[in-house]
Amino acid sequence: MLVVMRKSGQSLLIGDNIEIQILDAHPNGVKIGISAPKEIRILRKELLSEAENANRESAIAAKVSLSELNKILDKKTEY
Amino acid sequence: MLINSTHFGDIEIPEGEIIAFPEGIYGFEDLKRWALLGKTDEDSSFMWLHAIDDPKICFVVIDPFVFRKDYSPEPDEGILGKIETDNAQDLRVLAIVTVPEDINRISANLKSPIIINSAKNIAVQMVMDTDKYTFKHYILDEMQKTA
Repeated sequence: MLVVMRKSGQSLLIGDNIEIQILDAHPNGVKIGISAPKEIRILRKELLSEAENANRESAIAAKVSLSELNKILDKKTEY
Repeated sequence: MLINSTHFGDIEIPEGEIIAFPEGIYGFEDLKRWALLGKTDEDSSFMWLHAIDDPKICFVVIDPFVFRKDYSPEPDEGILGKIETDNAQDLRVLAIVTVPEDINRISANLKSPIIINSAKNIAVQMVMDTDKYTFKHYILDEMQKTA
């Protein structure tokens, strides 16, 4: 991993069209500004692992039928 | 295209119904081709989203507007570019459902919906960095709230 020292207000360029700027640095957090083309996905990494975990949990095959699921929805809407 | 599904046995999927997920689905990045099953039943709010290239992997999905009429995922230009459309009319949104043992606690993931370009059958799963939605919305609770 490349490690670079930067101060508030300084930037880094990645390739031709991605710029990462340090806006503010505190002991408990760093504020970063990112300029990148729209097709580049920018995501907090923990959110990505949460999305993966959520999917893995959902993919565990539940032994249900769609009609069973529809039935419980219908019951609710009868209220 | 024949899938030898672990859950449903042999299923024939017409080529035209295969949905391409160029990036896969989070946690299942290698699975690039999926199909929606069970949509012939018009009364059904739920469908299956089945992987073509792994006979075991299958999700229950729901049209999220069935229980959250105010749902507004707002895919940005990057997402729309990935599914090759700028026409909102082509978009179809589905939420992945988790079905626990207590079926009354079924939940839907509104934080990372599946966005499909239904004109071209290309789809992507987006993740929204917002507090408005979570990975687990209990469907029956939310229906009662809005009832």
